[in-house]
Amino acid sequence: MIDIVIAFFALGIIASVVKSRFEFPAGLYQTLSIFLMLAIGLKGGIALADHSSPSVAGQALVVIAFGLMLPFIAYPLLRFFGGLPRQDCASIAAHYGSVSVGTYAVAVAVLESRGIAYEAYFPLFVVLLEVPAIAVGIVMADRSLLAKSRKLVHEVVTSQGILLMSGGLLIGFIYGEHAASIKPFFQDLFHGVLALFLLNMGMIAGKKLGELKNSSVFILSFGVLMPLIGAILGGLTGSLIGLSTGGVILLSVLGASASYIAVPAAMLEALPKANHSLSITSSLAITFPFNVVVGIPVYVSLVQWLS
Amino acid sequence: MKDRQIIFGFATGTIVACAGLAIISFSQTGWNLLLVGVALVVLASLEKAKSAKAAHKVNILDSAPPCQIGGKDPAGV
Repeated sequence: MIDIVIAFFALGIIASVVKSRFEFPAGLYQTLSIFLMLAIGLKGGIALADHSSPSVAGQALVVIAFGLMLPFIAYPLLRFFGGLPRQDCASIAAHYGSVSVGTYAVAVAVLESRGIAYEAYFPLFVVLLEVPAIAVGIVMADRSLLAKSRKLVHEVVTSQGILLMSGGLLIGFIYGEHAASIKPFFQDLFHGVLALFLLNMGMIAGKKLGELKNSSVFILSFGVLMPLIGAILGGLTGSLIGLSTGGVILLSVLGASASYIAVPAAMLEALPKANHSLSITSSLAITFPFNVVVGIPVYVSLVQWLS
Repeated sequence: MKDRQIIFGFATGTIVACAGLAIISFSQTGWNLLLVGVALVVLASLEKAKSAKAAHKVNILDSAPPCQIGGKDPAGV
């Protein structure tokens, strides 16, 4: 049986496909995103306060290297097989090198519902994986942009995802067990809020399904193949740095996911001539649903079977 | 370039379907992967058929004498 939170995602897609008049109240999606990012950051920060050690720093360095590597795999596939313009390739590669907090939250919910333990400081890796791919994407498109773009650095560092998750991590790390007073709000409500978030994401993905008719089989194939490549490499990296079974699954999911919040905003600023609709369709309408419905259960089964 | 894109679609579909088949041996989740792979192969086949049809149309137009295009003989014969 599919996980209960994924069922809400399916409900969102159905609501959109049958053209239901149901609409999410304006601003609720933003509120849910803020909650999830803060909750994930806080949880990771509290765990990090208990587990901070040099080995975590070593793992973090390997995870950053992993994040830098992914765009270098995506770019040649897009350029050689897709024949897409350089800026489009760089923009899409950056999306796939970065991570999706929504996909990560679904993976956490699945692991918790199945009782699979994972490194609780994992949100640190989520934050670390958000940024490197953006820099790599810009270098791939035009090296000179990186030196010029002070505004872009500001855009990335102050983006909602980075600011809230790293802020939550820091607060959780500083307060540790003293954060108990806000724990019921941020931890007990996590799965319910995630279900609402996925209901909305399902509706957004459902609306984007229409755009897939205009997409070529290449983009569809890329949106499926790239997450599988990322998941395999993430799994191998997780095993290499000695993560638990749950940790290996989570790094697979992060490798498989593509950003649809932080990177689109940064790419819009850095590469205005790129086809942003192509990258957002690929990451949000193909890869996100693929990971949520098909990918995550497969990664969980595969890693459990291998371990 | 279109050919490369179609080859990529075929190859991805085949790889994904094979991975799905392999996973079915130890988990039911492989069925979904198999389904996605088969869907990609079908879509790549449709796109190939579509582009072959378009290429055939262009060939016919290129090889036809000018008077047959548009149904009017420019020489008035």
